[in-house]
Amino acid sequence: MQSILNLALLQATWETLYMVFISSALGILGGGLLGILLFVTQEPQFSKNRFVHHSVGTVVNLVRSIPFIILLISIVPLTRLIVGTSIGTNAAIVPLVLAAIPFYARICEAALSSVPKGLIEVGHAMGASQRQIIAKILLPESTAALVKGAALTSIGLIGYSTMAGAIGGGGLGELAINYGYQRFDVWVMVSTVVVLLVIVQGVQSLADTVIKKRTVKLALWLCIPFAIICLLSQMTSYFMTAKNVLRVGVMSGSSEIIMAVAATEAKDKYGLTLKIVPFSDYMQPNVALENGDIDANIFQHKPFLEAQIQAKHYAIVDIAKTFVYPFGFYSQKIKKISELKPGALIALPNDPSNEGRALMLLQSAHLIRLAPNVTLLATVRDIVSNPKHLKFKLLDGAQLPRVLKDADLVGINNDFLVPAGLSAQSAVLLEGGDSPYANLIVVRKDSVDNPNMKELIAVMHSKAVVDSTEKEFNGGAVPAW
Amino acid sequence: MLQLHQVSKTYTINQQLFTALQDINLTIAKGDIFGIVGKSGAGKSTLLRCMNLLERPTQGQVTIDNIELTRLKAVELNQQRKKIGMIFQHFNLLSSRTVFENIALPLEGLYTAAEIATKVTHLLNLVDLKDKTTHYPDQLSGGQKQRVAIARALATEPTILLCDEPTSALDTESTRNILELLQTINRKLGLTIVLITHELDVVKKICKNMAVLDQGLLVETGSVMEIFTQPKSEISKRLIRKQFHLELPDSIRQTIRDPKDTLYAPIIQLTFMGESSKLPVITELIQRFGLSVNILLADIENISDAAVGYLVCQIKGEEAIVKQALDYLHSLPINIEVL
Repeated sequence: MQSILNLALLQATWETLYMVFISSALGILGGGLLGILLFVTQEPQFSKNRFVHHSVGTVVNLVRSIPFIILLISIVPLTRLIVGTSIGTNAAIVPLVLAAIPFYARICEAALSSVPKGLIEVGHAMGASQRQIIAKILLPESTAALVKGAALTSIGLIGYSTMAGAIGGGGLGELAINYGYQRFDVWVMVSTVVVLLVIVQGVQSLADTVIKKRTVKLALWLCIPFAIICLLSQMTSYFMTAKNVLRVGVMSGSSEIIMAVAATEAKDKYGLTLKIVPFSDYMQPNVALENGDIDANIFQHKPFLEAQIQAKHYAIVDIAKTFVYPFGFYSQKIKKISELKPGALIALPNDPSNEGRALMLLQSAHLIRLAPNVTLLATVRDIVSNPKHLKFKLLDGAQLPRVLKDADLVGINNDFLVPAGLSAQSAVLLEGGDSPYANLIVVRKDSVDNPNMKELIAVMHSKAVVDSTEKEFNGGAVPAW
Repeated sequence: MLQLHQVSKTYTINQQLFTALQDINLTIAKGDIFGIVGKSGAGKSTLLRCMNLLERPTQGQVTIDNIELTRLKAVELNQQRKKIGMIFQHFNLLSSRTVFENIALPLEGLYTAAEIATKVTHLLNLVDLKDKTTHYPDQLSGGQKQRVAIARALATEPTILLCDEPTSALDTESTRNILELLQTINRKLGLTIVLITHELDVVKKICKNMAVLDQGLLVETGSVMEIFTQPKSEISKRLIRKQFHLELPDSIRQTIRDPKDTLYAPIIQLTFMGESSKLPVITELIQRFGLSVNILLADIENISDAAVGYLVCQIKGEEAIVKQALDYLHSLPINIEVL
């Protein structure tokens, strides 16, 4: 287990370096050009053009004002157009570059503006062209500000890259969130933070040294071998793409561990390569499946799938069940559900699907009654009867085990049980085995007949996978086939 | 030769028309050292920048060596600008480049590395900075920085050097060195130098000809000697009095005339030059006209290698006699002015 994580840490570090390097390089290049455009269109000694300056400036401000996580998700079509997929590390680079360009453009504009105007005059007096003035006077004179800004941009991108997990981008941020936060692994959390700190410190020191020693050109040359390494790393994965490969989307965390076992089983028994694509967002796996970025996903139950298909008209279908992970309510204050006092505080997951699931379970225990026509996506606003005057608080899934001391009753998704040191047996209220919430293997309709899918089902139902699942969930997972 | 013909420059600031230069006509001969003086805001800087079109005149023509710059397209203008060097009050050196690299800047792309090295070395010798080749500007004194700027301006072998307040940011010692250097290159290279300054002292020390600018108008042009000894415009007179400290302090000006005194007592300024300085003017005023003479200020200046004496005094006597004395003074080859 520890060695898997060491390997994961190494891979995540590489992914972060790769993402941040490529997106910084492209972002700084693009932002630099845009910054020069912003500068020359506002400077009377160049080509002052108020219309161009304001138009470009407005677009820059617009992109900068979009929160990164929104940008990441909302430009998926553009991402696919550019890198051919909307998931993975390369896909994360597109939004990172898009975020870096306007940021660095403003830095570059400010850097150029801070060069004394007299130096532009010198250039003109010498008979230099605008391009010569920019290349030989403005850029060299603003080097310190440009390099500092580049460091600032790269470090900002390291921060942004931690959100890349939402689209399966990997990297240290994803590792820290999935293993450290969601799986309560302090070692992972601390080591990712340390590695991130080393990278940030390294970038900053590099920038300071380059400025002090006036070695910008050398630094730029040194980027080339690194760029080649990045390129090679991509080419190997391109050439290694064999035929018998299924890309399977799962939620990051426990499922990843189980899928690692499944991948070994698939390779050994069927020569099938399972490429596991972890997601940290519940919407993206279906989007990616519909788009063909992955071939199957295993993370959702029937009610969720049906709602998604109804809302988005996805051409996807479930081909098999895997496990039921019973949802339960836990408490450190009461032993039995009947002990629940009037006015008790109940903590629920805040994602729509689990919120509804939790409320349904409370209804089945006759604690509340929901409006008759809402089921799956019921919210606390759909409660029509609450005789015990229970109070509800909605929290992030991984946060729930942490509030057991504060709330009277806490609804915890099975995913977070074991990492938090709980087990399904200790629940005061648990879903029955007839739960409709069994996880499904979901594929596109056009690939139902793909023989690899049958192998995938067999692998997921194999003894190795069942054993590892039961171990991983400490008995909190029941085979549903 | 540099000619400005009917050059005007107007700006619109907050929708208000502002005239910086109006109908300037000026001819500066080849090999001249030409000074343009004026108070700050007089338009000196704009005028200088109109000469290489850093500021494009709103009207009028700028011609250098029979090429009318105001007609040229951008590319052609850039070609011509290589023949016009320029230096600045704050030197405007590139902080990211060494002394050598600063001087090499205008040569890059025009010559091979070896040619550039030869040229720069030659220029470093000329401005006496051989030992500072690899220094960065922030390691140099003000005077040394201006030397680098001069070497850089000379790199493309211009025929004209425009100087924008070249010594205003320097101490006395460096100012003298820089002015001497400018004189040397004027002599050695036959370079025409145009400089603007608010310090008359600079003009006095090195210029041959000069112009006085006031509120965008060229009020006076002529040789330095002419303007220093026989200034015609009020602004020139005032500038010279200020330069040579010939202004009477207000306290003296107010108390020097006794209101009860019935005698006529004008204050006059006499300017002597060359042979006229040998005339016994004061003696004549006392002995021949019987006036009382009160010497208030006196100064001798070296202008264009000639001694010029200034004398401010009050003469007192019957009005008719004083007038006779003034007529007498006017008949002499000295410049007299009643203040």
